[in-house]
Amino acid sequence: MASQELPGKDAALFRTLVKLYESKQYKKGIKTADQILKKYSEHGETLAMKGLLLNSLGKREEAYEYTRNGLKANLKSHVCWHVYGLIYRGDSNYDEAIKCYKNALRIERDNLTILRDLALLQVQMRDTAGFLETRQQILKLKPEVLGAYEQIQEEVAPGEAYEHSEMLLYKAQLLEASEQYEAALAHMKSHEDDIVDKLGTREMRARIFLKMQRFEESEQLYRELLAITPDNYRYHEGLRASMQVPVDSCAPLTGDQRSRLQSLYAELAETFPRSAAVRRIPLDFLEGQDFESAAETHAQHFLRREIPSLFSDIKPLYRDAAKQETLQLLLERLHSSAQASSRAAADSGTTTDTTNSSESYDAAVWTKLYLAQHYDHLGNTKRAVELLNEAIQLAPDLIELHTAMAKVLKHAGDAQGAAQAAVKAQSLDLADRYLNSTAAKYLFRADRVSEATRMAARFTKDGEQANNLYDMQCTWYEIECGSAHLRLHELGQALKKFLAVHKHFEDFREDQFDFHSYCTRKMTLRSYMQMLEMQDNLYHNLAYSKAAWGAIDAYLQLHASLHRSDSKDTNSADSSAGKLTPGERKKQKQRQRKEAQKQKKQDEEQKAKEDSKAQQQQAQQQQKVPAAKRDQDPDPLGKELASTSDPLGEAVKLVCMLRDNAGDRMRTHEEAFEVYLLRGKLLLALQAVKRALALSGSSHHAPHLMTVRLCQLIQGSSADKLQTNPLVWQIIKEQIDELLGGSSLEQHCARASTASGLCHCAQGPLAASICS
Amino acid sequence: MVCIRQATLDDLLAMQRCNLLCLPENYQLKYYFYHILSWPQLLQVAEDYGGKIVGYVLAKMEEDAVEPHGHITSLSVARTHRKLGLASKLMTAAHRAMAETFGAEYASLHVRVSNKAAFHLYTETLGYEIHDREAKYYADGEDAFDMRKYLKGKRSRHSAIRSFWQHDSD
Ligand SMILES: CC(C)(COP(=O)(O)OP(=O)(O)OC[C@H]1O[C@@H](n2cnc3c(N)ncnc32)[C@H](O)[C@@H]1OP(=O)(O)O)[C@@H](O)C(=O)NCCC(=O)NCCS
Repeated sequence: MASQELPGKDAALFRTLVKLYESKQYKKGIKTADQILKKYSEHGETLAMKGLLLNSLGKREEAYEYTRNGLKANLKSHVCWHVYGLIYRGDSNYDEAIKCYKNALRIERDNLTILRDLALLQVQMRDTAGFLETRQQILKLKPEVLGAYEQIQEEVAPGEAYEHSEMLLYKAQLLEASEQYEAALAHMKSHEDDIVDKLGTREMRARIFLKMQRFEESEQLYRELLAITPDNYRYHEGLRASMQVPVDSCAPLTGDQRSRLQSLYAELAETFPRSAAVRRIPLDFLEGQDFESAAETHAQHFLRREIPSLFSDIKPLYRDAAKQETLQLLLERLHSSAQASSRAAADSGTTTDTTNSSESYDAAVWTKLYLAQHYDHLGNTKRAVELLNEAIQLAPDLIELHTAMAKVLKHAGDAQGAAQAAVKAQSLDLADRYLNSTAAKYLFRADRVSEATRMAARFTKDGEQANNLYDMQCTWYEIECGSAHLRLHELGQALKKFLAVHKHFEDFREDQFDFHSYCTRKMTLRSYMQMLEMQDNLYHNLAYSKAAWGAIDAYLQLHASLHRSDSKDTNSADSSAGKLTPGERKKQKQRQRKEAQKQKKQDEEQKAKEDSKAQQQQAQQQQKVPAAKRDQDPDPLGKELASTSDPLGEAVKLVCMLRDNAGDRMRTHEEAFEVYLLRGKLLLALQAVKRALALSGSSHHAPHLMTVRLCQLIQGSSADKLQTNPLVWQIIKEQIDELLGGSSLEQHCARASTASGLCHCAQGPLAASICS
Repeated sequence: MVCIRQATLDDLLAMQRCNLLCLPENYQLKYYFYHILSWPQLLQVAEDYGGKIVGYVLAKMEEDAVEPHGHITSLSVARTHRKLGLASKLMTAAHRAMAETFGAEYASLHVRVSNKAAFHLYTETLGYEIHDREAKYYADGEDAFDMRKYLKGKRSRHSAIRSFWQHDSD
């Protein structure tokens, strides 16, 4: 390898090249690079820089090629390694990027830029030890940072009061977390004047006093907090705990505790007449006659104001059988008296005060609504529908009656009727997106996909619903739409929607990147710590699980249809991609790749523009400017997705994500079991059974069914299979014996079915309903 | 039973969902991140008994403006939980934090001229005043009222006169 030093004039040209990159003049930069390369075609750092420039222009593959060549030409250059790292980082390949940065630092130990880049990636990857080491190195290099910080602590610039205050509270929070309560309190006291989040400080102090069992002080603080937000239930809990009364609303109380609560809430009701919490909480602890009269006042409050949510407000009380009965009697009584007075009003003819009569009519309508929801909850669909029909007769345009009807019919399993009622409700207020969303959802549940999509499109910019709902990360829509397609065996479209959700979650994960440095500037470290935690649990979110389950089910169906078509030599379900010849398919792939690249490039240019400021403006103007016309999605119907040759392999990836992040949900293990069984991975299938059992115990039907199916499979397999991997079979046999508790399969099933009425017809999640 | 409290990071996805159900003006999650990591005290949620988010307010500070002030980016309450007073309570909590923690002089917001429920809430319940009318502010061509409310009891004379009249006619 020849020397890589450039002579004077060309070295200057190289510096220009770097400047051009930094000022985002990529095209000019490439020209300059070419100028150098004309003379020195093997100059590593120039090759690498050209790679970086190409990368900024979205030419990813060429970028990798140039950078790799640059590195080959000069392995000892920190520039080449740094560039290689930057390109991996842009590709979200953080592990590789970290390796490259580390190589660069091996050559140029004290390069601050590289150290900072490395530190960012280490937080993103939660390599805490590595991160601390890197930050330490940075501080060693820039000791003035520490000095500057101390100075900040002494005198706060007027514009930085908030940042400073957040820093102080972060410290208090750290002290609290390490149980240094006195120190935390003293810290907050001594900086009282500098802390601007007064409410947050009060909350923290109240909490700490409670932990220290200094109940008088905590009670005082919780009372002050209640005076600020009387509807924050956490303050009520804090106050209760300070009074040494059990906080859980279901916990049994002593007579003394109950009477203390009773007088507390009588007092609070005087002080905070507008607080809903103060009105509602006593219903939890009152009993008998007291409960009955408080419940009546409460119900009257909702009824007089025609508030739709009475039932959902009192539903939690139904856990107590006595209260449920009282409430039913109360609702029935309110209903009959409303009906009686409306009849009386009607009988007395036109002479009566009209406002009076319309009031009682309304009371009749609303009590019918509440009562219908009550009977629906008890499973009495017939009575619920009857009541709602009566109410609709009286007030055909009251939207809440139709949404309630939709819900009742949904609960009863009548998806079509439910959709019809929801569409009726929607038609009564076209400006309300909530009604629109509900109608779309119910239409999906009724498998009326095209009507549902059209409905949802009404509130999206220029009606381009698919794009807009996707851009806005509307996961509920994608899950409902995907599930409907799945039920209709339109597997490509189902996958398209489910995997869109998967993509959103990847983006959410990526979103945190910019905030690592942003928050250390803004000093919102308390929220930042929350964000790290939230990000670490991100994939536990139910929306992710639902989408992943759906996608796995689609892959399972694809697998089944591939097998069917293998034997019958026909093509797969809805995928026309199956009809392409291999050559055509290759061409199609190339076209799609090109289009994807183009799209990526646009995305990146967009991203480059987006620092937090620009983002803010963008969102502000979002309503005004129609979204820039984008490239057509090359695969809107998911045909490409459905033409995968290895659906089970794709499913396994999702199964792993779920197992690592949503192992507390039974469906995760059912899906895992199904996939591994089909793949012939019996040990992993066994593991799924064991995890399911650990989750629910043997009383749940899912692990029971899995056990039975695994047994049947083992018992039914031929001797030669046993020969191929005797060790695995040995283990499985032993484990199954353990699962069966030493008895035979038949004995086991008989026991299980007498114990819990379980039926043992084998049935996978495929057959189970897709929407839970 | 619905709890009004400051939002945490774990509420963001649910807030985005509630927004998508209720309003046509939507934002990517990153914008919610931006809000909560800049002004955590200005995001408030209404959480029902089962832990479901049924309402939220998403607000921010306009720090570079001549007069630093708060701005309501988005507010909505699920239809199932309307008329309970949730929106007014969420807004009150946000206003309080704007003034106390960020020293905001006033809060501003935009509302569709046709949105009767929201207009009543802002003018009658919360004391906002129309500052301006912006033509074709929304994507579908509808105008917006640009509204303001002065915080810390700093009410303008105009609004004092108006509420005097209101009390008279009540
Ligand atoms: C506007 C909205 C937030 C109000 O929420 P809410 O929790 O029902 O409001 P509140 O219960 O706090 O009611 C506040 C006041 O507004 C009044 N109000 C509420 N809904 C109303 C309606 N549909 N028509 C007339 N007034 C209404 C209430 O009576 C109450 O008045 P009061 O203080 O004089 O008694 C809610 O309807 C909503 O989410 N709508 C869709 C989204 C939206 O429009 N957001 C605002 C965008 S700028």
